Amino acid sequence: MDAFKLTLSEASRLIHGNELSPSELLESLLQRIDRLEPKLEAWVTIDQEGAIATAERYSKEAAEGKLRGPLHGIPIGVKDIYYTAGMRTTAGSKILSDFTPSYDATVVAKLKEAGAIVLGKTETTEFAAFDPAPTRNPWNTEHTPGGSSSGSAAAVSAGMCPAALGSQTGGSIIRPAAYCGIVGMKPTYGRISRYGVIPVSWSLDHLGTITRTVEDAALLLEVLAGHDPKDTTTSTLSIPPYRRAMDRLSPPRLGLLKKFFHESAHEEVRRNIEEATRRLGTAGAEVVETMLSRSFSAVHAAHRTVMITEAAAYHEETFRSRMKDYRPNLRGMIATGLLVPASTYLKAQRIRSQFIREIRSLLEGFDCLLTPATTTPAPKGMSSTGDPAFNSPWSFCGFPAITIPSGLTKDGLPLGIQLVGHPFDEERLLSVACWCERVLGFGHDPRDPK
Amino acid sequence: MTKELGKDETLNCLLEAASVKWGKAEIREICSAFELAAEAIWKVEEFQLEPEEEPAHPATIFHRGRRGKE
Repeated sequence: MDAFKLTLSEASRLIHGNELSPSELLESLLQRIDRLEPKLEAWVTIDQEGAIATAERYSKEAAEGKLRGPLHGIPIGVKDIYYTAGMRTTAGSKILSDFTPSYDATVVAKLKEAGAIVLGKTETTEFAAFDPAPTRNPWNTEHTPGGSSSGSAAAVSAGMCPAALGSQTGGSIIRPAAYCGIVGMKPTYGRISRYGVIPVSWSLDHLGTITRTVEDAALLLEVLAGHDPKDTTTSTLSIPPYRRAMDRLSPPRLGLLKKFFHESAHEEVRRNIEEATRRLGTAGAEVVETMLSRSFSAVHAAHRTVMITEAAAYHEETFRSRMKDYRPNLRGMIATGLLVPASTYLKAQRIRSQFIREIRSLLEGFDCLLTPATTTPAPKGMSSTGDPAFNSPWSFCGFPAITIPSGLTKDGLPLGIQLVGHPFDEERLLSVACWCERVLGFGHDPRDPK
Repeated sequence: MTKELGKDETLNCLLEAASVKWGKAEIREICSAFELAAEAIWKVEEFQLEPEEEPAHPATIFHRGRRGKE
């Protein structure tokens, strides 16, 4: 069995059924990493020794029927902005190159409680902003995998781990997942604790999942979601059993956003969303074109204003003494953020209030909104991680979003659709995404790079 | 700074303030960030909001709307 090909849910089922041991799964993934990592550079740190020792212990436990949780013995990749006790956390930066946290981020602790093995830390753009990581796209190594969750997306896509953690301030989960032909989910702001994760922008940062299937996203979200007293922005709403959403699939009612999203899309992206829409409609979905709200015209500007101001506030002290140690994109972001007038920042937050209200109203009568996931396929070259314009509005309003793969370009690069759901109704979003995933039936994997 | 300023004037204001703070040589390498920021600030300031619209707050963005609307 090529265990590296298993999805998170398949691996979980096999381990729980004693048909696969954590050590067997890990060995297959490590072989995969040995083979592909020199070409893809998805990892900052691989804890081979620690992972092998943990897998051996968990294999014995599994054989005795002692299972720690749904992720027992499954190796997971963690973006290198999450605190991991005893494991270096560099945020892709010179400034933190030697930093080793003494505690785990809340979600890392939750992963471990559920039985997962932290396989290592995945590459990120510097401080999860815009200066690219060295990671390459498994579908074509001349192209970016997107960012900022570059290593997480590349590692999952290439079969180095069945799932990984990402984060999104603009489009840093949805975009790399779409560029790499996999599933990326950004739940509602407040659904997952941000405690112990290095921020870009406190009010825009979302943690989320990168997996190969929607079912896997549901499984991982069940583990990660929930109130955390250490993060006052987390919701106290109860966590439904998300995987059960997969059992209740029915054709959804989708609000198709064409204006801006189709106009700004690359020709192949536009053709792909049109074809996907047609196929979803043929399968029974009710797809209705809907219009963007008034405040949408200011959303990207307001998002940028909030992001650079909060990033500047976070980095201000270090920036004073180590400005040159920041790479140019982040340096520019901080320098400009420090000059944003307080009244402009607050006006951007007022635009956000209006946008949230308008999108809430727009979603009434729909299960989800539907857009392409990205403006283009993964751009060629490593100087940019692509454009988050189709994703940042949903980070700005905090509503949950997910991408699923929906086809390939003529050059063989993956494309995805993006679904945006009601706040704190990830259950419905996952159910709709699973239905769409089955209808679109992507079924491609990248060929191993030579 | 920006209430009555156009996009170019906003950019000039930012560059001037940055030059004083960090020096012209430092700014040259990150010039594109200033263009992006100026455009964002200008668009935000241009956007017409109703006076009663309150800022979103992270802990409450889903629980507080404009007064009297939710």
